[in-house]
Formats: sequence, structure tokens, C-alpha cells
Amino acid sequence: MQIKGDQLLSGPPEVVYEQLMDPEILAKAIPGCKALNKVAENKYQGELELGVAAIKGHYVGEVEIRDPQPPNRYVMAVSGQGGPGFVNAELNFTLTPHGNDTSLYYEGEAQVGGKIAGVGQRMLGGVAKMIAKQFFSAMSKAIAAQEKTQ
Amino acid sequence: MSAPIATRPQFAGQRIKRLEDPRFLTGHGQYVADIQLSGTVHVAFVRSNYAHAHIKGINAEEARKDPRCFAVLTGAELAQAKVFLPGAQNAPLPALAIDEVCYVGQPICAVVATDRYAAEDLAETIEVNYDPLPAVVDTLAATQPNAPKANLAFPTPGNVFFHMEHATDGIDDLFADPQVVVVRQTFRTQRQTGMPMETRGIVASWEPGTASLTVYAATQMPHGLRDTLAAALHLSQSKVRVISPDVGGGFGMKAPVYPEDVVVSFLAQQLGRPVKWISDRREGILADTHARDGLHIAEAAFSKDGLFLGLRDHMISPAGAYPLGLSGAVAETVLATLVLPGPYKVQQYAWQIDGVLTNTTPTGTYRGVWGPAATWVQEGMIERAARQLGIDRVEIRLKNMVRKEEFPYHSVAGVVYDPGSYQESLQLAMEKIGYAGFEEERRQAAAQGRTLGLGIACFIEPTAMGVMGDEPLTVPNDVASIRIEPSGQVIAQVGISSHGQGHETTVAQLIADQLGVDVQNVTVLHGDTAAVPYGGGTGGSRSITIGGGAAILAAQELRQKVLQIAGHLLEAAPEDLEIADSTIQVKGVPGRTVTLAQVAQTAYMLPQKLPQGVEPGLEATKRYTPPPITFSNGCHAAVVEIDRATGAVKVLRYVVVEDCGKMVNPMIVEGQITGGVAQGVGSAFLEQLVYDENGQLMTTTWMDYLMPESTDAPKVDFGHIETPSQNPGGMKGMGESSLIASPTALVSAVEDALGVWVGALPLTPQRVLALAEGRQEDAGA
Repeated sequence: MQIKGDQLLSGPPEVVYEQLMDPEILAKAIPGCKALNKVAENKYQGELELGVAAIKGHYVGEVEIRDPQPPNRYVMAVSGQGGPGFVNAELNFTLTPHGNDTSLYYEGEAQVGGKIAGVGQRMLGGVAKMIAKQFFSAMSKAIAAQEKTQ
Repeated sequence: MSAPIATRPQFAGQRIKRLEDPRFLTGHGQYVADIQLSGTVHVAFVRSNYAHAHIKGINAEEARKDPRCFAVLTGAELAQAKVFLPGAQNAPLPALAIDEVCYVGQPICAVVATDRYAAEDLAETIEVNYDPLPAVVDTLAATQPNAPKANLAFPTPGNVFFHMEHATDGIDDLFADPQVVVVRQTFRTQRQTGMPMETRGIVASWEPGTASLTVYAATQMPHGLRDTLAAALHLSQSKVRVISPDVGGGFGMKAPVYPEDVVVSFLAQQLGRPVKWISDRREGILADTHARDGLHIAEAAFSKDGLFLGLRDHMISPAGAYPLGLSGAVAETVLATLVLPGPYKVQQYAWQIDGVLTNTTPTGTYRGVWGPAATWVQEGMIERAARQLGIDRVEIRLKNMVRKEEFPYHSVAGVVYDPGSYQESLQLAMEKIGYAGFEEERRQAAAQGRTLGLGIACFIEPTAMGVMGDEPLTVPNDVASIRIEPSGQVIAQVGISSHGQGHETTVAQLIADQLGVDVQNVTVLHGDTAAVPYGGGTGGSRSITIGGGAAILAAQELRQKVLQIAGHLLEAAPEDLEIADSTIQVKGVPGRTVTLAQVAQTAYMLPQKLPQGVEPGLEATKRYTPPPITFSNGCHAAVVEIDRATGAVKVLRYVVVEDCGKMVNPMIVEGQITGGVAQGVGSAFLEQLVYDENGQLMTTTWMDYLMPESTDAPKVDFGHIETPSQNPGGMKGMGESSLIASPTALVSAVEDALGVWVGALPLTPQRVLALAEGRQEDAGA
């Protein structure tokens, strides 16, 4: 499944890039995220509760940042597995300055298996877009909240 | 066959309402899911999420610790107990995956718990650690030399595990002859599954006292399941009893023995308590045998005046990841080779078969097996030749068909066609569909902006297979054991096994006629290996011809004995007697009678009153072996209207002319055909199992796998021709013809409406629109 999209995030790429690597912010922004821990440089482990239509499940997974080129680009490899199946994805993120803000563009390929693929495949594209939207809107909030406390 | 003693048929040939229907229609059928044994525990399966992967580890700690859990079983434990499923080429199949999974849906673990709900929840807690391997999904791609191997444990070096070929002398010269016209088409059938209303299911129970296993299963072949379970579990056949209670459809999908059958039976033996598993629809779509999905690369040679001279077909067919004993890759193709020429007198013939392993669900048989594709090839070639040569479509068929006086006909495929009505069926079908006036009808419709087409599918159906060599696909005979109880009631135990065919009625009709009793007085028992003699169950359109044939023979023997005893009691010669309404009477002497009950009581209780040399009792067992193949034939015709705005195809008229020899119950014949035509609508327009490129099955619900609904089933206008066979009663099989012919008739109608050729199924609205708009796709290879 092809995934792509773009999003405007407040702040210059240098700041946004750091925030995108911050497990604390990410944990708040990722929909259904129950835990996210940095286990090594550029490697995170997490737990997720997510539902695609009637297929709700608990996933355990790993996120790896490959080929980091701060603040311009990175590749994120996600592999998650749970009762309803698995998701493996590799996404390329590109950050470009947009005035005082950052335009984030992502594209990549996701592979799903098990119940999620067999029952939900037709709506997965839409679901992926929805999750991304939730993620970025939560991300913006988390960044704003962090800025307030600083 | 000795002629039966003057028996006036009273029931055979009549439209008798099915004796089993009251219990089905009032909700009193007993299916496997209805079997409740005390202390039953329930199974859920953990199934592979990957099309191909190594299993690095299985963590079932959490499930095992749960108080609701009775057991978690893995492939390693089964391997240790040497429990396997028999597969093709003697390669044992793992009942639960060992180290490697080869298709999505393959069972890996079985979880046994207090109830299914708990079992499902516990199954979700089991972590399987996969290491993905390259998967190959497309059948043609899998035949390439550099393709990943679909099943690393399978003994063949590549994915092509099965190859056969044959050619008649001179076929190359024929196709090279500049005088002949060659037509070509690749025909691709889609992947489907039988999809009976009742899913698979099994309840197994171990009796420690007798060290024996009792299994209730939704199966078409109780003895076949018993034999395989006994072999897999290292038990003697006498220690395994299989009962198939009421079975809600099978369509070939319930013929094989499945991993789940072996696992549930093993668990019952291990746990010493009844174990139950009923498939849900989603796991059924994943793990029931899939079917069709074949490729026929065909070419045919015709003379300029339309003689069908030669046929070549290269068949490529997937087995899925594990070739079953009767793999679809083999059944769809090897059987097709016997009948590809169809009703036509083809002289030169060549075929090649490649059976291929792919990372998909194993394939098996689905109603018609080889037939829908072979009929499509035959009729497709004839249609293309007719249009290319400018010969009328009916004329070219009549010209090439085996004529009445040419039977028995030895076909180029090496089989013998027994007498049928090939030309007559086509002519009657054309009369009923209004072929002669159709061009005018089409013109009038076109004037109103409507697009009509007429489709034709002539077919032959090989039924009731007898002895076909040293590796029989089914039991080449069947059996009936009939007894008359002291009350005069008749009980018949038969080796055929109904899963919707109505044997309790049709077999009773045949027996009632021989014994002169009312059909209501005959009880037919089937589907219990402890109650009936060894039989082949039901599949391959075998039951009424072979099982019914055995019933007639056993009833005839019993009738002789009844007449002998009655003659002795009435002091008359047996040949002067007749039986009607359970009463034996001296012909023409109304007062001199004895009832069947009196004869039966004498036979059991008063042996001193029996004629000399006659053994006590009234029972007879007969086995009937039919000829190698009994051929039914017929013709389907359809008129359809294409909605050029939506691509929808509406069936306006549908005609079936069926010649299945003597009909025992025309209402049941028509019911079976109506169902098969509905399935044909599914095959032609709706159904398709779709994998993504990684081997994920994307159509695991009825939202995505479209089944025909009752409103999609055309109302069929029937014509019957009865060319009796050599079998007792003159019957021929007819269980599959409706699905053998209907997809071709419907596709042919669309082709005729739009003036196009179709090479792939299903014809979805998008594809119909594309064809209507002149975007002729290369629908084949």
C-alpha cells in the first residue's frame, strides 16, 4: 500500500526535526500509543492500541530511524505485530523551510497482513490518512504545549 | 442387467416432495454445530499472517497460564507424535505448521479452552515470531526459473510439481496446414471457493473404555475421512467412527480431509474429552480449499467449411502451497483432458499440464471441477470459428456433434461416450430460447437503445466414475444394504452421503418401486461409518447412479425373496404375483393376498413356514460398479441485456435442456440445476478471491467476495430429454452440469451482445463497461 502526504508544522526544520525525534512528544502524538521508549540511538520500541473498523488490537513494535540527515530528511522503518496482524512500513520524510515554518512531506510503502489486510484492506488507505491527520494535529498541540512550558 | 419383474414405476420419475425437507424447513436439522456432548471443550486456531515465513518461535506462555486453557498444541508436538496429513506424491503435510508457513491462514497452533470465546481470546495472546521469506503468488510467475520456492520443504526442485503431456500423431502437421483456420484464446478462470451455507466443523470424542474415536464432521465422504484419520492417528479403522449428520452443502470443498480434522481428533484423544471446532466464515474463506484459478492457453484448427479438426490446450493450474491428495491443480486439469473435445468429433488433440506451487491456500475441487473451464474452451473455440468463418453458431455445432447413430462414441481423448442427445438437446434449447427469432428481437431492442445478447453452452458431463485404473480417485462402486423389518417397514443403509442432494427421497423412491411399498415406508440411513457399509460418499455426480443403482439391485434381490416366501404362503408361483401397497397378491385374484408385514414376520419368526432352502430374514446387500464413465449431456442458453451505463448484466431468459438419463425426481433435478445456474452467475459476474502481491488474501468477507443472491438467480425454463444409461434404472449423474455450462452460457451472451471476446472471469461491471466501450482488453494471459 502506498502512503504519502504533506503537512505544515510550526517552526523551522531544525526545531521540527528534533521534535519529531523526541519520544515524549511522539508518544503523545501517535494515536493509541501506550508506550514509546528509546532503546538505542535512532531506535524506539512501543506499544499501540488501534482499531481499523471492527478490527481492534494491541500491537507491539519497533521504529527505526535510518539514514538521518538532520534537519532535511530521514527514513522511518516501522514494524508492528499484534493479534489482528502486522504492519511493516518504510517512509521517507523530507523537511523543507516554508517561511518560518516547515513543510513536511512523506511517502512510502506499507505492508499489512492478517485480519487487517483480509478484512480492512479496502479502507486502509483512508485509515492511514486519518491516522496521519490525527498524528500531526496532536503533534502540533504537543509542540505548542512544550513551547508554553519552556 | 436382468429386467426387474413387472414393476410399474410409481415413485421414480415423479415430482415427490423431499422427505427430509420438513426437518430442514422447521429448523430441526441436526448439523455438526448442533451436536452437544457434555464436557466439550473448544478450539481456536492461530493462523499465519504471512504468505511465506520461517517460524522462529512461538510464545504461548500467557495462554497456557490461563485457567480457561486446556491445551496449546503446536506442529512440533504433532510431528513428535508422527501425526501428518497424507498429501500428493506421498509428501506428508503438516497439520500444524512446522518451522515454515506457506500461506496466509495456515494453522500454526490450536488453543483449547472452556468455550470458543475464551479460545479466541487466548489465541490472540500467542506470539508467533516470523522471519518473512520471499513469497510467490501469481501462478505464471511461480513457473519462472528464478521464482522463489513457495514451499521449501516440498521435495520437487522448483514450483512446477506436476507435469503431463500428450499429443496425437499428426497434430503439428494439422496446425501447420495452410488450408486450416486456427483460432486462439487464453482462458483464465478466477479463484473461487465452494462457500456452502454451512461452514466446515468437527466434534471429536475419545472413548477410553474402547480406545476409540467418534467424530461428527461436515464431510461429503465419511468413510474417506475415517480412513485418513485412522492412518494419521495410527488407529485401526475399526476404532474410528465418522458420522456426518445433516450437512449444509459441500460442493467438493467438503471432500478432502483438512488439518483441522486431524488436530481436533488428536486433541480429543489426548485430552480424553470431546473437542469441538466450527469454522467461522472468515477462516473458511482463508482455509477451505480454493478452486479453479486455471489458465488454458488454447488453439483450435477448423476446416474452411467449419469442421472442428484439432484442439491444443496448455493448462497451468495452482495447487497452492501444499498439493492435497486431490489437488485442484491435478483434478482441474487431468479430468479436463478426458472431456476437452466435449460433444464434438475432434480428430487431433494435444494437451500439456503444469501443476504449480504458490504461496496461496491449497486448491481442491469445486462443483464441476474441470468442467466450467473445459466447456468454456470448447464452446469458446467453436464460437470464434463460427464468427471467423461466417457460419451460423448453431449450424457449426450441429455439424460437429456426435450424432445419435454414432454412439457409443470413442473420443480422441480415449473415453467412450455412451448414448446421449447432443444435437437434440441443442435444438430443443434453441427452440425454447427463441434462437430463430432472436435477430429480430435484438433489432427491436436496439431500436429502443437496449443491448441484447444470446449465449449458448453445450456440454457433456462425465459422471459416476467406475474403475478408471489402478489409482482410483474415488471408490469405484457403492453399496446399499436393505432390510424389511417385521412390521413391513423398509430400512436402507447406503454408502452415499447426502449434503443437500435429497438422497433420503430419491433412494427411497427407487426402493419403493421395487418392493411395492409407499415411499414414506422407506427410511434411508447414510453418513455413519458404524451404520452403513463401506462407501464413497457423495462427489463427482456419482450418488444416484452408483448408490441408487446398488439400491435397485439390493431391492430386486429382496423382492425375489419376498415373492418366493409369499408364493409359498399363497400356494402360487412367484411369477404370478404382484406387489402393491405393501400387499402381495396373486395377479387377477383380488382375494388371495398376504401383506408384506406377514411375509416379514414369517421370514424372521416362523422359519418353519419358509420354502425349503430359503434362509430366515429379509435383508440384502448389493454393491454396484458402473462403467468407467456415464456421460450426461445438455445445453444451456441465455438471453442477457447489458446496461451500457453501469455495466450490469441482466439475465432476461435462461433455458436448460438436461439429459441425465432417467430422472428419479425431476423436481430435485431442477432444484439442483437452479442452484448451479445461480453459482454460474457468481462465476461469470461476481465471485473472486483476490490476493495482493504479498500473498495477503483481501477478500475474506462477503463484503468483498460477492456471492450471488436469490434475486440474481435466473428463473430457469427447463427442457428434459431422457436417454437411458446402461445403469440400473437408466440413470446418469447430474450434480455438476449446471455449473459446468452456466458460466459459459452467460459469458457467451455478453460476447454476443457486445461483439467481443472474453478471456478472463469474472466479468465485473467495470470490465463489461470497458468491453462495451471498445476497450477490448487482453483478458487472457
